[in-house]
Amino acid sequence: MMATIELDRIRKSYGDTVIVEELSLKPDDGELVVLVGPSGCGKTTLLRIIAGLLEPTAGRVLIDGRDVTRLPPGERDIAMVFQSYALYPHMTVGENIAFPLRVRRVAAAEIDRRVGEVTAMLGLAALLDRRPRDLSGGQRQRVAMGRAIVRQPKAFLFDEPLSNLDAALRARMRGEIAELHRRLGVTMVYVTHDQHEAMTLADRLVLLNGGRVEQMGKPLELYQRPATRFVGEFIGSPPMNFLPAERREDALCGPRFRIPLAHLKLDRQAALPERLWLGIRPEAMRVRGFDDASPSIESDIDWIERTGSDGFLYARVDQIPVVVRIPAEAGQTLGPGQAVSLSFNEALLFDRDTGRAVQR
Amino acid sequence: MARWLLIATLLALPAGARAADELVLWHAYRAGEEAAVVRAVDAFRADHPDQPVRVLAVPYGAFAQKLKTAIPAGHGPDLFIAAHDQLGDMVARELIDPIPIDTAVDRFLPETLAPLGRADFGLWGWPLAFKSLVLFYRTDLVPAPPATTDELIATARRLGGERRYGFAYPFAEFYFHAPWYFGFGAELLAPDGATDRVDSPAAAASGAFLRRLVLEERILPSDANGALVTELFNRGRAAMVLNGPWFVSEIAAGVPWAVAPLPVVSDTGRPARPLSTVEALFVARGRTRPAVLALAAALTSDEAARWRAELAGQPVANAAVYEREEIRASRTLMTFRAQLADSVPMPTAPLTAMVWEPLNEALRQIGRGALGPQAAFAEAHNRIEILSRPLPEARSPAPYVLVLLLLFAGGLGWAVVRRPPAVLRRLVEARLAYAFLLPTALGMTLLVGIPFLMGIGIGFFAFGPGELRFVGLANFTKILAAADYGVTHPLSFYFTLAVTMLWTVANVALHVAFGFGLALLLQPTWVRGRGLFRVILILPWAIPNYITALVFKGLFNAQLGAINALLGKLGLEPVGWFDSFWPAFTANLTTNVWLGFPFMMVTVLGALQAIPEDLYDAARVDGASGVQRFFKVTLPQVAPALLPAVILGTIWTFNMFNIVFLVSEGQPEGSTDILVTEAYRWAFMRNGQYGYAAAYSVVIFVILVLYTLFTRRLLAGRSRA
Amino acid sequence: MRVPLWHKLLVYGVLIAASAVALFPVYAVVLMAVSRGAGFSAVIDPDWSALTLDHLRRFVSTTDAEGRWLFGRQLFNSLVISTGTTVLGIGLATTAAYAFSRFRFPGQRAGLAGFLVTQMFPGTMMIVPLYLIINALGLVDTVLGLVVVYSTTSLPFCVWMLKGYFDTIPTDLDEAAIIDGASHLRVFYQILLPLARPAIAVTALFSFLGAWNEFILAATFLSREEKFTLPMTLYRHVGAYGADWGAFAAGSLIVSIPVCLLFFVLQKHLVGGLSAGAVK
Repeated sequence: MMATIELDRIRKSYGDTVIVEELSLKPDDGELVVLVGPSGCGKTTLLRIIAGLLEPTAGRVLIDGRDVTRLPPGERDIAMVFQSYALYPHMTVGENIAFPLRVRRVAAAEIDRRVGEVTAMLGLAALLDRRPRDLSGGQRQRVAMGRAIVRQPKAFLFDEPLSNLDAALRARMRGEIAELHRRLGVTMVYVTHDQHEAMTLADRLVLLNGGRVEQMGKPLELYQRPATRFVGEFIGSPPMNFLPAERREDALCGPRFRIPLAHLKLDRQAALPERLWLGIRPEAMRVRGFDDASPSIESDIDWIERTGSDGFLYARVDQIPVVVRIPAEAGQTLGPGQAVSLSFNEALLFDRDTGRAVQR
Repeated sequence: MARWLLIATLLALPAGARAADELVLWHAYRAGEEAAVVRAVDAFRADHPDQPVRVLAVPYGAFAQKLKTAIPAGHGPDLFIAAHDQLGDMVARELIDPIPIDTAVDRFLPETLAPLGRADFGLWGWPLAFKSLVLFYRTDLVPAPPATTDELIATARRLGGERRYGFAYPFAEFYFHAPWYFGFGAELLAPDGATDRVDSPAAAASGAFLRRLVLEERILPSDANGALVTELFNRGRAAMVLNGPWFVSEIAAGVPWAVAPLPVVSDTGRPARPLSTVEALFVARGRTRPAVLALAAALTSDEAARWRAELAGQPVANAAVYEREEIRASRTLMTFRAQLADSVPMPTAPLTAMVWEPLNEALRQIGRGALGPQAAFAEAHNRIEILSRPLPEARSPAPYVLVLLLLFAGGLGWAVVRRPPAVLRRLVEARLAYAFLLPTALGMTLLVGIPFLMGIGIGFFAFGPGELRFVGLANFTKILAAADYGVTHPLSFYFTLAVTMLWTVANVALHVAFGFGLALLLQPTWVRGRGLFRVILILPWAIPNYITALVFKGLFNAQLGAINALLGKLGLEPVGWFDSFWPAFTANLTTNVWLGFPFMMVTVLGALQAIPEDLYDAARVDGASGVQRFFKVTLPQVAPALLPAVILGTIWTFNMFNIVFLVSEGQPEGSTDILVTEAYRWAFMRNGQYGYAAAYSVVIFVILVLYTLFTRRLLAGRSRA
Repeated sequence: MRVPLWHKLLVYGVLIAASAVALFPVYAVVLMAVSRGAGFSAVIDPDWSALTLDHLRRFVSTTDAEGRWLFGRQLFNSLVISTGTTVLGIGLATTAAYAFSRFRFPGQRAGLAGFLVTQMFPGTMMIVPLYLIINALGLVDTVLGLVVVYSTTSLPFCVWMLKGYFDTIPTDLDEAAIIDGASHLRVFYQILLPLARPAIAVTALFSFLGAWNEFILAATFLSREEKFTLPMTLYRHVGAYGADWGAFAAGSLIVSIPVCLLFFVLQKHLVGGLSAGAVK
């Protein structure tokens, strides 16, 4: 019952407005693929193209190797969970879950059995006769999932299913979705704008921007080796710091720093472009100690934030804001307005003209 | 699907059910007169047991229209009963056959045959009965009927008093004024059809007489209609009334009454001569056959006439009936018989249809003291001239057809040039939408679209008696040029347009104001009985507006109306509601506001429910006063729901026919008429000038389309903001 | 929040006054219907000793020339025609409104505007053309003919109302159902129709009302007394010369009762249905 979903050079445009540029994607069987990106990046359009709610301007959608591009959504054997849950307000929970089976003229006894199974699995058994308006947000979410599961589809599509829930509930439901994926082992395509959700859920992450794929791969890959400045900025929280730098003979020079190239452990120094971004994750940065021999970046502190488990130092390097993750207890002597010298363990380099990462 | 087909077949089944040999008789009689017809038909059935006969009593309000549409379409009756004044129109429209000349007609009173005569010889129908006015009086108040108008005035003066009248009749209807008009020696139409006889010294003299009755002697009630006169007579508040044979059945039991011939006009020494109408049996076009003639014979037999006289108390056309003992004993019937000799047959020339409206208006003005008798009749003549002006000249339709063809070709070309493949593809993509739309589109095209296009097409034609000619844009130019009257004259298009706009704006504004106000009052949860109030306040919507209009017309009656009675109790002067523009307009407005506010109220109520309470709380926290909360929170939230309702309401009010037509009837001088009622008058009351009426309708249509385009921009502007 | 007493009194006062004004003409009709002396004076000068049910009885017990009980038949006809009009009208209007609300297609704007435009041409000018078309279809003197005419004339309002209401129902629901394998037809009757119930109630009421009260077209199209509708019997009391106002009032009362009942039953829906659609 598992299936592969393949997108083959999909394009979507309305007149001159391009929503999705030529895009191909072929996740492995049973993977949970997360499409992530800022709003307007084309991720929902892509999902709707897979579902069959939209027709692509060009390209093919294949499910199990079969071209379904022209097939109506109902015949693709995929289920979808909507951001609004799209529960039918005039039907009870039981009727909502049974609806896809009714449509397919499944025998009544079989419907009862499968609805029973699914509701038991999702803990909805007590709510069968309630109407959607009498349910809490989390319950509605579960009913929507139940309606998808009950069909035993080849694949699941999720369109920002958690964005209407509060933070605690969101974390729990995220866990449930991951658990569901583990149990069913079915291909899932999941759309979200929340990088945290994307990182925690995905087997494979597809980061979209302006209708193009910025980078595709395992979550950790995207985190550690962002292909572009955009990826570095989008993945990770707080986002990566970027400092403009110029390459001099043997060092990178910025407004208030000078970093010898040797410190960057580069493989091929010659290939470096003139103008660069120096990208440093907050967690790779630190306040430079007196005995620290590493190159320094001079900055002025704006403020310090403590979350209990962590601390964040917000500072400016010649008007360019940077964030530094510091241990919760650290920096008691520091305060706004003070000058501080920063350092880092690890940095990435991006071409300032193309935004692409520089190969090391 | 099969089930639906079956139901459709069952519903349509009776279509072919008319038996080939069934005889069909239509009439618009009710009560006793209907009973007499039924009795005669029953007698015929007894004699011809194998001959099925179907009698249909049609509501009078729809009778003429029904004859005109059904007979040409082949769905008409074999025989029908109608008054002879329709004759000119019926002949012109070829609705009837002449009756065979060998029918024995000398058994009918000669006065009843004359109006039915054809130009050559022979007759258009068989006379059944006749109607004219006579003098009804209460014998308890008037021991001996007046023989002259001077005596009449003297008696009436003696009997008049507070809310009592010596004499009463609806003087603003020419039919009731006719006895004096002819008694003073005036004529309606010259033999050659000239209308200038209306503006004559004799006519003016009759007008002066009316003026004397109403304004000088004050013996007539000023705002009398048929119902009021009946009421006054039955309650002993009117001693003498002018009325016809139909009045007999309206007199309440226990009222002592008698009839007398109309008095002699003292000024001229000539008898007052009422108009007489002959009710006759006609054969529908192409239906003459032996069975039909046999039924006609049964309906017009002396025996049938006797039943008519006895059951309905109506004066009949058969001379033999008046020889019978019991009929001779009926003073009423014998009086009508005698009055017939001193009457003027209702003219049948199609032109006649044009004279009533102006003459009625003249009488109303004289009675109100607005114009002197001479001036009023001169004005009436002027109006008749305008209404009866010759049809516009026939034009060649060729240029119009050419323009249409060019437009069509242009449109087609434009569609072709404009990327047809894209359009074609979108058409194919949307086939599902079209499938859903198909039944509606079919129905709308067939039953709304085509009649609508036909209506527009008719605007380019002129209809005369029995003729139809293409006149191009003549109707439109005539309307828009307003050449017949000054622009500010109540009958000019622009005056009517201004009134229509005032009418629409005032109505919609008041509908919204009252609807909004009441909805706000019904909103707070502490109001007990909200459900009950809501039902009561929706009630005006549920009642047919025809009924509402008639009730309000009664309420606004100057003499008997509850509103003037209320004013009287408050010590205020009674208002002649329909004597001048503003009161009449107010009466119409009141009626329509009563009728229309529930729609707005319900719309606002719904919209109010959708406003989240948070918004009010937020406004309160911000320190907004009640008034500010209304303007800053309520109004902006309700407005989107209200705007479509206002647009629909505007269109409905613009075309709100019933209220204006029934409440003020356009009075005074047609000044309160709106465009639709004016169009209706041209189509149905002024000799069927359908072309002109259709052109009017097209103008109305264009105005409304412009209005909607304007509001559409308004709506678009809103949604952008 | 406390509402001051004077405020309450004012609100109740206005509501009661408005109700009185709304009820007065109704009271007038009732009075005329039960007064022996027929006419409008019964309203200002009621004779309480002369109340009678004669008018009502007479209206209800009308028989035709052959002595058959006409009122019953005509009540039945009115019900059949009005119900038929409502069913057909709603059937047509909901499908059309669905197309207008859920699809994008060439001619959409023009079509929607076209519905409104037809409301702007005075109805009296359409009678003769309508008769000609109904005659050509062979539907003169049939119930179906009237049903078809009535339902098409009420369509524009119904389509506008319903389209507005459908627009407020999220398209997510349609899409969810379509992904679940439902056809457009099923989405229409299993998702949208049940959800649009308030708007359907309003439009149904509207179509019913129009058909129930209509008189001129019915009188022009129907030529058998046993097929007449109640308003035709009602207007039979208004003759060429004078009218039987008592019977007319009694008739109006009887004709209005079913409509009032319907309003009463549907009034809750009415409030939500009329405006919810219009909000969008």
